[in-house]
Amino acid sequence: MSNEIEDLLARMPLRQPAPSMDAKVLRAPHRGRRILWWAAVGGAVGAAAAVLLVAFTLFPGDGDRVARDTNPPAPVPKTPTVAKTDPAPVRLEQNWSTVAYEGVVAPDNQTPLRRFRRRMFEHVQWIDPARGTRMEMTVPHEEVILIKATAY
Amino acid sequence: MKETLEQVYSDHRQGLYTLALAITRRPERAEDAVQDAFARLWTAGVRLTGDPVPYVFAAVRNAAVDQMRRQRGAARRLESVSIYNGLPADPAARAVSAEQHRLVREALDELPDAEREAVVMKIYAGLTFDQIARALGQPLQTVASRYRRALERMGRRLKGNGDAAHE
Repeated sequence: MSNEIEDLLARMPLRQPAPSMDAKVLRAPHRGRRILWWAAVGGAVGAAAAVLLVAFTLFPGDGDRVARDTNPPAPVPKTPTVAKTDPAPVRLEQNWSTVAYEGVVAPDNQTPLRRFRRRMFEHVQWIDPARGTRMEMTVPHEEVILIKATAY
Repeated sequence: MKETLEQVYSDHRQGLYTLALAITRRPERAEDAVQDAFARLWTAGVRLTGDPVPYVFAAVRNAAVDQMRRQRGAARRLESVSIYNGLPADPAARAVSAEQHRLVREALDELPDAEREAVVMKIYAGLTFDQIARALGQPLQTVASRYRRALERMGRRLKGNGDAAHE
């Protein structure tokens, strides 16, 4: 009976894989590297987006004013990355700053001044691979810069 | 390593795909499983010693199981596809009758997963019991008895339905 079943099973027509499977499988090494590359890019973009989200949450600001800025805030990562070998802890520091023009003001009703608001964010991470721990700190700063407006 | 894997793929392409399809029950997921398995094998840089066939089948089986886990409940049940193709339109070109085709497909689908995998690896991938045992990480006797149990179960199912069809 077993032989009959085996014969019957062997005569059944099998579903064939698509021809494209061969190309996919045989180029698999490149795909593996691409996945790693995209994972790295995705991780970097995600980290940057998370820091920006924290920054804008801390400084919700004036939406209209931000929208009028001719120079939209662009993240300028200064990355003095200090990557030490395991098991030494790693310190990652990233700084962002934005400058918004807030128009002309005249505090003493005499001297016209152009007012700029500069916002800075320091984001520091300490990662200890030996212990599997991570600590993050975000420090916001803000300063107003007044520059004498020159009349032409 | 590269040549070895290419050779295994070339020799067992259909068997690897059929095993993955028997687990995932979706053609596109089965192809993804085979692709994922080879991607892992390429990048892992494992040095294979001895027979590489069980190792590759184990990798494809694991990738197929991973594919299944990614499918959510309803999606897992929908569009379940058999490992068998439809019959040719020309009855003269058929190796089995339409009724046999249906019964065998149902009988195989009703087998427990472990028994179905043993049948697929033995009959459709052409592996020996020793290779199947190493691919599954099971004792040889366990695999052999699992296979025999599967055939007996299918035999009973086919006989029962055949008798019912004749009554």
